[in-house]
Amino acid sequence: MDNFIFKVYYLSFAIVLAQTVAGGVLAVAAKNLIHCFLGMVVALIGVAGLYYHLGSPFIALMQVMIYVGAVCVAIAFGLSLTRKAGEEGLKPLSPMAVVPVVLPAGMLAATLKGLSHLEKTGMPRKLDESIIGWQLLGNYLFPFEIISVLLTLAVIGALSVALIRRREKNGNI
Amino acid sequence: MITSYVHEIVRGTGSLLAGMKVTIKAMLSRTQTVQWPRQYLTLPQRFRGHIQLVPVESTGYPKCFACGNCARTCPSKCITVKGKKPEGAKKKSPTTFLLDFTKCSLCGLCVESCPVSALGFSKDYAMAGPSRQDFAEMDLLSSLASPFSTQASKEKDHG
Amino acid sequence: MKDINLLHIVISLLGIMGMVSLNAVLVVWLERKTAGRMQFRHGPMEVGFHGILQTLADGIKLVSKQLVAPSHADTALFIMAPVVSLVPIFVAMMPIPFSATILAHETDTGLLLVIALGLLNTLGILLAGWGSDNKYGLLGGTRAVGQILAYKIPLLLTVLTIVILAGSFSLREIAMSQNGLWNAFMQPVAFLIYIVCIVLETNRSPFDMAEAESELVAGFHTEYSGMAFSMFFLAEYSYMFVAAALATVMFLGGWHGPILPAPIWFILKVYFLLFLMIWFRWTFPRVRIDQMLMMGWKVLLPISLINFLITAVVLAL
Ligand code: SF4
Ligand code: SF4
Repeated sequence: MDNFIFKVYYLSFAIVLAQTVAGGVLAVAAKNLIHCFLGMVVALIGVAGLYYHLGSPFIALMQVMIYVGAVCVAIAFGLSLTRKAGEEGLKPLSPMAVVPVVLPAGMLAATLKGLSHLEKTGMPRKLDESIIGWQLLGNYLFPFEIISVLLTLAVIGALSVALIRRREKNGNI
Repeated sequence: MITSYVHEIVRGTGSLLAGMKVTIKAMLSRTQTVQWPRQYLTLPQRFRGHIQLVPVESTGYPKCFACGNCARTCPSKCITVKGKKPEGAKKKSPTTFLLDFTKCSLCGLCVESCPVSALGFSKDYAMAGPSRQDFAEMDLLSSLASPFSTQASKEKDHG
Repeated sequence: MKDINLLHIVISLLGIMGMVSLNAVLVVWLERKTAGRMQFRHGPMEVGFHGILQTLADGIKLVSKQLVAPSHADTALFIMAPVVSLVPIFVAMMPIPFSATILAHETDTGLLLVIALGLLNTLGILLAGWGSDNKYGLLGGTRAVGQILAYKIPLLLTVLTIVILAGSFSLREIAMSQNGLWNAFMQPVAFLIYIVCIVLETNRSPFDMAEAESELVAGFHTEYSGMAFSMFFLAEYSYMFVAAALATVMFLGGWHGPILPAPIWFILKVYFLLFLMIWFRWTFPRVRIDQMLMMGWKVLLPISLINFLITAVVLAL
């Protein structure tokens, strides 16, 4: 029975992996903007699936909620104002496409090498979600705060950009 | 500023609740529609359906004596009357009384203009038919008894 | 990973499918009856006792109709959209606890699961609007997206308020934590905001800008017919059920109640909320998109934020 569960696990992991890669390819290579968007959604859901398989349904759901539910929807909102007549198929890749393939591959290899001393357990272990909270507000409080400051800055920046635009348009505010 | 903000929210919620009260009351009250064709509405006295011929009470023949007043008065020219004297009668009686209901505006001028009040409004509101022709030539005589006993005399009149 | 049990999954999926269809039949009937009575009409009367089987008859009619796609439609998106809209429902129904023991799948993150999957509905609407090569459809899809941006944050904030009260993301534990006092009484503001948010989330009047039949014909599903249309229809009523069930769990004490058995209480509360949504629909006129955005950003967001902060501070003290 255990063997069977392992097989199911690996199979579904492979499916999710393939889904992520296919979505990513579609996202960069499709000619039609909405197909790119769709590819991104598929890839992000795939990433959520990977998190799930790595034993963290919490992160997986957050991924779906934030990236698919909020970020993608916001992008879609922008896209729907720029509809371009439907082109089909994939566009030819430019030689520059090598860079985003090679760079992450190198980073991945480096990470794997750095982690190679860790023990292999086979199946990921599911941790309690509250650990994430304690870690974020304990050990990682400083990076957590830095991120909040960054986000606040982003909001203020967005606001000021919007206001400057408006002032230029209206002459005053 | 903040008080008007809160006030606006409270007032808005209040008006929403008022609206919901109206609809729930409507929901709990009696329905106004009936399950036609199983039930019919009882129509008010002055309901104006399409026009119809009024019969003489004793005989059941139409009161109309085919003077043609109604046809002349009708602003839409939708009445066609033809008549002749039945054997042994003093007055004429209509042999043809057709109403083009597709044009009739239910103005009632024909009813007003009839010297002997031989026209009235019916209470028939459930009117539907498969073709336009059903209403372009409505035979108002068909619901009444005819003083012309045989079908043959009618035919001859039509020519 | 130890709890993979094929039989369990199959049985619960079948149960959920049955639940989804039964719910659609019932809610559509309830909706049409209510609409009729509120307008002094009878509503459906012919098929079955007081028209209870009318939805079934309509469903059969829809299924037997042809699926027509516009000639310039993006066929892949066009076909995918109703599926994207409907399928997440089957998973989102899983963690909903009908009683302490009757639930398809217990997970620690049930609340997140339901909310995250509920978001995919908007994706379906957007794809439908985009794929059908129709201006009305595109406008409807865009509106749905603008809407989701406005209400998602207040919705999540109210949900978070409840989560910190109950100390868990598990729907079962949230319901259990309200054995005595319901959250609706402890958190009336959050409850009201959540009610507004679920009406927004399910795209129902007065927030049905995405389909707005008087302006956009039928909005995102203008081009849909037959089976695909009925899938959208089913999805809408199922999302209503899921949203109402979530509200029941979070605010109305889940299955708790005197005398009657637990699942009956749960269903009763859910249908009360569904009736409330129907009641809204036949009372309020549709708001304009700018009014909706204004309400989302200027009223719901600050109030839910303040409510969240107050709750957190009170809990911390
Ligand atoms: S006016 Fe009266 S009597 Fe004269 S033709 Fe018309 S219905 Fe007959
Ligand atoms: S009701 Fe008016 S329009 Fe109709 S037949 Fe009489 S006169 Fe003509």
